[in-house]
Amino acid sequence: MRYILAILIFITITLSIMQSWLFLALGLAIYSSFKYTATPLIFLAVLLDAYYGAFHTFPVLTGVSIFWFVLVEYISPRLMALHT
Amino acid sequence: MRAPLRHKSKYRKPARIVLASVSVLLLGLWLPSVFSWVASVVMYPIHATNVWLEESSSLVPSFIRDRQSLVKEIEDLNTKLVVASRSSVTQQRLLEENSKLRNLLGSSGESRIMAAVIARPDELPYDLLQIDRGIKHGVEVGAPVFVGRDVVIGLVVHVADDYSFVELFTTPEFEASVFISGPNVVATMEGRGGGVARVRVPQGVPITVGNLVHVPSVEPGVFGRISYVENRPTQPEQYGYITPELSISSLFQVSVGELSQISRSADEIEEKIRERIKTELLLEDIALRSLSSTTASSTDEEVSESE
Repeated sequence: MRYILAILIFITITLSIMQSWLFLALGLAIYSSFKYTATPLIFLAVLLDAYYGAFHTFPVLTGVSIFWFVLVEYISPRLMALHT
Repeated sequence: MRAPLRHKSKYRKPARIVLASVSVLLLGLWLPSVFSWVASVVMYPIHATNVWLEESSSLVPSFIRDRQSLVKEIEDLNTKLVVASRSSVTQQRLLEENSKLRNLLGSSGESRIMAAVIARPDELPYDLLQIDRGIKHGVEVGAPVFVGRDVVIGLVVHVADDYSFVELFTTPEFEASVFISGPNVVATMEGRGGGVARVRVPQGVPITVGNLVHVPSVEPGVFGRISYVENRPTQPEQYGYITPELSISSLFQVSVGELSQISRSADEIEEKIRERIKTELLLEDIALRSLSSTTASSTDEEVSESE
């Protein structure tokens, strides 16, 4: 069930980006990053950049997702420490 | 000694992920077409859903699309409203200035006859209107007909006692000289029927949608704006199609002006004056006399008679 929900969230993020529902995409991305992990977002970003042909120039979305992954990995332990 | 090892192992996995991601990024930059092809295959179901949301006429997609387009339209209209409210202040100032200048020049306001439209082009043939004012109310053949204050739409062509017919400028084969503001050129406007008129200008004249079209022969004589420009580079001319600001089918009231509001050209006035001068010295009640029998004796008789 957890995995199904995660897959649904990531599909919704992808559709939201394609439909320009950026607030929804951003909100779900932040939620899924802390609820699960930010690694699938890198995979999503690569797919979207390849779909829109961004690899012919520079894949901005992939770069941002890598940066976001690093940031989440840095923030998450501190959030967990605060929570405990 | 175990703590530093745990510390290092904690960062090892994220570092590997970052390294792998950067490698994939570099690979993608090296083989962009391959990545695009793979993405199009993997993303096909999501792509199909996206297209369904954008183009389907089903309930959910059309609801989502309509809402988005309505929200966008509201934003655009709000912007236009703000711009229009500011330009109305300028317009009001210009109107007042124009009125003051006219008063200074001694121009008297023209009188108009209000009339209701009792038949329209849907009910009448061609581009004609029937109004409920006629000879009894002072309507004259050739008088201009206005919608609102400035917009002239046609001329009175037939007057009866209680009604009149108005021929619109958009009647086929109706021609008028017009002035197009923007490029500031004079052109001939021809009616095309169905509430549409057309101006013809040479290629190179920069007419655009929105240019105001004036009929200078009528005062004031704004006709409408260019709503479509037909411009084919292979043709020597381009056409601007004009539709009146207000739809003819929704006209209920018009105002009829006076014949004096239609100005004449200088040549026409000069021709009329010349014709009048030609007959100015002619006395119609004097008969020609025969002068062939005039002699000195007859002249003496006339002098003695007069004495």
